[in-house]
Amino acid sequence: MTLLDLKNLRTYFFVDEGVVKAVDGVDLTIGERETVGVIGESGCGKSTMAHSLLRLIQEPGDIVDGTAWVRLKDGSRQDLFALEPGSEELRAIRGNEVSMVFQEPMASFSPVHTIGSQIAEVLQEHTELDDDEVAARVVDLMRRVGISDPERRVDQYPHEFSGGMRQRAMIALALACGPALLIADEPTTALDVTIQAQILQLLRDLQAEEHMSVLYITHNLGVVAEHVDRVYVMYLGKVVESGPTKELFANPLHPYTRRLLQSVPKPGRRVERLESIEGSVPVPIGLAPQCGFASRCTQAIEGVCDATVPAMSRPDPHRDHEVRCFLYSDVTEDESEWSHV
Amino acid sequence: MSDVTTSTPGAEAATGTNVVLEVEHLSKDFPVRGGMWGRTKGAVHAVDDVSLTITRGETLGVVGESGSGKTTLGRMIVRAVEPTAGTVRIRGEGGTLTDITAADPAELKRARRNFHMIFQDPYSSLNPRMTVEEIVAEPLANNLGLRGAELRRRVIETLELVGLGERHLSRYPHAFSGGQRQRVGIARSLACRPNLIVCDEAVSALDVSIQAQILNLLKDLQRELDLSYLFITHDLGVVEHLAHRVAVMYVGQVVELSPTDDLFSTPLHPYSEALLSASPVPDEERTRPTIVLKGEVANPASPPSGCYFHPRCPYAQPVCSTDEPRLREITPGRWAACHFAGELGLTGPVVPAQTSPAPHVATPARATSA
Repeated sequence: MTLLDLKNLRTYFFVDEGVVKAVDGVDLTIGERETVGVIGESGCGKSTMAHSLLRLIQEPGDIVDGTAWVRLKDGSRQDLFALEPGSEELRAIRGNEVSMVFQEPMASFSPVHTIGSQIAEVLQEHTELDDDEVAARVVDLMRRVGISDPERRVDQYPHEFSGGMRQRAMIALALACGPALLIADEPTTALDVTIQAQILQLLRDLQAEEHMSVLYITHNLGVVAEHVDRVYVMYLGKVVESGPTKELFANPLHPYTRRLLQSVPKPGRRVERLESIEGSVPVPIGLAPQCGFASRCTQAIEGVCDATVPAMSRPDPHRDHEVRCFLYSDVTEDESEWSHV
Repeated sequence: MSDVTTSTPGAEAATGTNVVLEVEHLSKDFPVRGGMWGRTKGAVHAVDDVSLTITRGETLGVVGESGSGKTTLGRMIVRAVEPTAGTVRIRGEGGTLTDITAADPAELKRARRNFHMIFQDPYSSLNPRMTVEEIVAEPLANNLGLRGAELRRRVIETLELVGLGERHLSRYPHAFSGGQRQRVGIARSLACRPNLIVCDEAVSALDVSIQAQILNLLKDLQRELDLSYLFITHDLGVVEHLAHRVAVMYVGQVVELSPTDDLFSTPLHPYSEALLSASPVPDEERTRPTIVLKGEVANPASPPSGCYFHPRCPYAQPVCSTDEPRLREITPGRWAACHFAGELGLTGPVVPAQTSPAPHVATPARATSA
């Protein structure tokens, strides 16, 4: 069953130089207990997309279009974008139904409050537990995320935690109210590989125990390949390819995805020269209505790719594998409503 | 080979004249201050008795996690950090090795043209108030004393090596993308035509498609200019692509030093095996389970007794908590600091090409299969 159904999300930033279309028409679904990954390079809009879901976009940014229907614990459905920022209803959902783990746990905790008190705050906000029950639950949560000696460590401050332990505490905080969906924005990027392996294992175990869905936002293709069921590839504010992870990694369709996968050095598959993508990502201001990858694509069709925007298509109707590219379909996206913004 | 502990790892692969860098028993202690008057309470052994060599045209990868001492090692080699003990010798003109650690300021200044460093962050390592021409010209003017038209000619020549050109001379760093900025950083380090370049996480801040461009560039430059690289990184995929030999560091010490292919197929140290296993692979099919180590990297201010890795080691025996293993040569050209190295049957992510034992790599050139 679908837990989150995001349709046509457009998050624009209105800056002096023009309109930055950071997220420009993204559709994404997450099923119950499903693990979904969004991959892309710097500036593709993956983090803006995740922040939009929790309504964390601030001036000069704005969600100009889209719906995000989420199934709540009581079975009702709610469009996250219909709620007022700062409203009671939104606060009831954030942290309770949908939580987020950020890249830099040091920046996500207040340095002047203890770890324990910050986890307790979430429980006090969203539950009816009394002080003793909250305290017991905080210790229990910290133990479950693998923080040893939690009775002592609840009273410590974030600077007394190592990077890996801080990220565990961040996960404890995110899981405090048993959310149905956990959004993990580059959760292990700041960590060493052996600690990253611990955190990913922990998230996997907790997901199975808690029956929650996880949305990973990451630039690390390896993390996606090993930990998610289904993957979305973003480029320049749009999803350019999506499909089951194994299928997408074995048989990438979009020229961008292909080159991206070939540009990563892989142990045991050494090549003399790596494939690289010439040029760099264009600045998403005042872009012509065309395929965003056209300027760097070696297979671009003149007069087609640089003239219209391709729509998502499904080359094989029997496979849940979609791609936004004119090599597979000549269906165009109607962007007329947004091209003048 | 009776007294293996005193010889220098890798030295046997390099016959004198070919050596570009020779590091012997290099250590760095940082004092730990505390108490009311900031008295020294103890020391962090950031780098602990490291010895290694690099030959001409060779890339030595240095991998390890935060706090393993790999960055401090790189900085001592270019003498940006003063070592507590040990020597660093770098090849200069006429093939002579200059002791960088003992050099007086005049000697050091003369030697500086022979080695250079590329930093991780191309955003903060270039002066935003200098044009590309000034950035690349600075080492040429300071170290080689070039001026005027000759200086400008060398700047343009160097920029062309990295895929930039005359049209970029008057631009400032902010006008470049991350990848181009790293090209400027590389041009600056190449300007004096050094023998050795220390790359400290030189591609870590870049997106993968841009990272691939820079890795290809570094490989091309190595071939054209016969450069040697000390390549410090946490990214094992990058190391496998670029390095001929790899030093694995843990809490300030080299725990394994092996030719790249051997390390990735049959690691000798349990930490190497775990590190290789923990690195996620972007592939559709993963066949090997990830080894998830318990605990965290030891605190170099109060390391555990015996082998520093023993509290996390899945193969630890009683002897590991009491006796500190020395780095020793296990098979020709392969070194490891483990009591049981060579006996554990460890495996890496790469299936060995043949079933025969790893061949002795006598030259840094690794077999590059077609």
